[in-house]
Amino acid sequence: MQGEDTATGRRTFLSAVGGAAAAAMAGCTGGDGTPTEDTDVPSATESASTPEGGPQSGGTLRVGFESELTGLDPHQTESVVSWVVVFNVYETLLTFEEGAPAGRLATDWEIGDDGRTYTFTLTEDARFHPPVDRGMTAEDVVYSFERMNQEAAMGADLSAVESVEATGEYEVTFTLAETFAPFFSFLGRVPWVVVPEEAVEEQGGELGDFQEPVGTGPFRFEAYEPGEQLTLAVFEEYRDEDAPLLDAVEITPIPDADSRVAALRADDVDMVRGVSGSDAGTLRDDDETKLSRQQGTEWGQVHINCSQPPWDEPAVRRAVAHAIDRKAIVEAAVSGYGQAAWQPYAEDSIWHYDLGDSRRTHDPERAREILDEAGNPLEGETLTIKTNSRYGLMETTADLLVAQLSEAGIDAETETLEWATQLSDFVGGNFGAMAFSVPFKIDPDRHYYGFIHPDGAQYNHYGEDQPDAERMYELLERGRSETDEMTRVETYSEFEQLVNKHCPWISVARADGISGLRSNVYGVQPWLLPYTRYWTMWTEE
Amino acid sequence: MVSRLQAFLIRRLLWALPVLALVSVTIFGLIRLVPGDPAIVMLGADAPPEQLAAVRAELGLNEPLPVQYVDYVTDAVQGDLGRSYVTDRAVSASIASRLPTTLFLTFAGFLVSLTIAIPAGLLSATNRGEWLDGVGLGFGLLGVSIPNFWLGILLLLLFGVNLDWLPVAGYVSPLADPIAGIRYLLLPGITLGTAMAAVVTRMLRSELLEELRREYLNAVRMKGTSELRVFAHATKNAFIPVVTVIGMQFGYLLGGSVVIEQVFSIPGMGRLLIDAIGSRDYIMLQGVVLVYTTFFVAVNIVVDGAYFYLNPKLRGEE
Repeated sequence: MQGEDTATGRRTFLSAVGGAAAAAMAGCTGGDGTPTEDTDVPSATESASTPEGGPQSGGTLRVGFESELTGLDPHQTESVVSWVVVFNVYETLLTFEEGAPAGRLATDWEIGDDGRTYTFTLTEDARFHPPVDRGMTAEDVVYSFERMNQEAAMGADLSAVESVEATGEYEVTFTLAETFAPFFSFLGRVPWVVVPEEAVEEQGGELGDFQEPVGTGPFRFEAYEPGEQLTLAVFEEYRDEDAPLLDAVEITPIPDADSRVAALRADDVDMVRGVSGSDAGTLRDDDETKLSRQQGTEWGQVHINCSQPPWDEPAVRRAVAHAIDRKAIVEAAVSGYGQAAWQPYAEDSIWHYDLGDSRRTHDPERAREILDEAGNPLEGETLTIKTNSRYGLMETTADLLVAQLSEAGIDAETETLEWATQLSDFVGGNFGAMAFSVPFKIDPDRHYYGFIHPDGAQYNHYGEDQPDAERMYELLERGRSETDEMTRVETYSEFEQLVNKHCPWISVARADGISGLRSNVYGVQPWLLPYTRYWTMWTEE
Repeated sequence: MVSRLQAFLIRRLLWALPVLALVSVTIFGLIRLVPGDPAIVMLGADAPPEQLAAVRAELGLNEPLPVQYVDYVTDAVQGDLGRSYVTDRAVSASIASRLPTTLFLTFAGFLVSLTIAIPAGLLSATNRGEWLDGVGLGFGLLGVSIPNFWLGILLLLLFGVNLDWLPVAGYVSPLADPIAGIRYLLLPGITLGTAMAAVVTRMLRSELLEELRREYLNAVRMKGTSELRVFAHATKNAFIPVVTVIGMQFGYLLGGSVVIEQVFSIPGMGRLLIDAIGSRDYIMLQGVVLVYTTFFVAVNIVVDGAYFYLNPKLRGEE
């Protein structure tokens, strides 16, 4: 982020003794357009040509969102669109730059040798927006974490925290009950932001009451008419004098995808979120519009319930893993704006494990052989792949998979559900296989633990009777308690090998997040997560 | 003494009560038959079970259904429709802020359709078999056949994107800014009103043609009345069945507005409805459907009242 903070943050990071810091060094997905394995991926046009005058300040950015906001209390709202607003109005202790943790409200940190105490030095220049209008101190951080930790609002993510204390005016110390490696990177999670107690109290005090945001971020909340428009205005006293460049950001929900693209082309908005792969081509080819692309924001899989026949038979899962043609799915579902993927992390991430020749590639013959060797467990069976029509990636994955399975002599059909129904079936384990996708997670623990480990209650579909189950549980436990980065990398490498071997799920694709921009809009900085930093953006008049 | 019209209206209003009660039970029951869990939609696929349980308890989803229903109705008759599971705003406040938008849109559709249908129907009938009639009939056929969401997207691309005359997405209340309000409502109004315009045109044409053949018109002519007055007589009578259709169509416009709001990004009740279905926001869904139903019932009562007025046979003697 802001120059100096970053430098300090990175330096501290590199010299940190505690491994947990390093552990959080999540996958660098090369969000800025780093070349990837797929050579025929359409190129994004963003930042292709920045005008010579450099950034200009002033102006209003009009943004079209894919859905209505679901509320503005940062500690009790769950939607991505609301989080985009939270991300620009409030600040977290940490953020990520080029895949590594960097300071936001924190300028420096130290992790105790036992991996259980984290001490953060805070910036002394952070101010709350009016009407609070005062400097932020460690007490505000303590208050905020106590507030978000009530009523299980943050789920299990904060449960490892034993105490949060202000150990100085600008120093705060977290003590964990046990080592929990992902904790450090969680501090960059959007809802873990600092709020001023007096503003919260004035608006009612309860969780969910704080609907008129007062934060320390580069933009302050100005007005919100639910369903119609939310306006953010520049916070003049923001501690970084170079940011934000814009005077204001106006956010309007435009739920229909076609209308959203039309609104951008008609110059009714300057930026739209959630552009589909099929619309991306139109926006790229139009002189007045361009794309901003963030790689790998969604990880698509065929998710499998390994306790339900015939999917409890590893040979069936392996055969399906060979029958699937990932590249065809990426082409059809997101018009190539993504990559065929065997794991959630891309090649340039430390969490990526090179499976080499062992990875299960498209090979219908091999699928037949596997089934033959296992005594044809699918004789007379028709596999059902659950999916929904709301998310193109999932729908296309299921449709194409059924066709691809028939090439390998496997009978299958899709069952298209409404999204809420599918989600319910997913959590309740009421499925054999479903096309599914999850948002990109910074820490591998977040991706794997819940899917496999028995303590991840509702997804415990990889039972103890499955091959190497005990070993996989063990690896996942070590992955979250071990704080040394290299050990964690080795742990997850072994885990990936076992996933490839036994196929508790079948990874399909990493799909990109695409935004559309008017061609006079500049300065988008894609980073690890799909929350736009409006403060780096500017428009050319 | 109570006039027949008043007696009729009172009877209809009393009838509306059991209808609404039945509707409330049906909505309540049906939406809970649909699989899905609001807590899961709210918290997402990776929510830990303890958090799901906490949210379910907070939303009162653990209570037995009859208890939930009685609670809901008790609050509802006192005007409290509950709080949205998702946004935590009062349902009644959310609806109140969206209702005028939807009514403006519906009214715009209504206005557009009558503006087109009445002249088109009259011209078609009086020029039977000529090219004007052909145009009217052609419009009547096309209008009912074109799906309105598709028409909406076409209009939006043509007038919003290619010609760039009108805004593509959003809404401004005509009360706050009449000019901008009308600009925003024009395309949605045309899209919404076309199907109804087509139905009414066809109906008016055929009713008027039939009426113009009636013998009583000759009696009127024999009195020496001008042809224009004769035509006026016929038209008034031709309108009796047309008004019923217009009334029913108004109800369909309310339903159609759900789709149109989505296409033109209008923040009305339709969007509340769709979001509520997607997120299994039962309480919001109940409130919105109840309001739609109430309006549908109310419009029907008004139409029946108008029918009463137009048709002397029904009115009879006091």
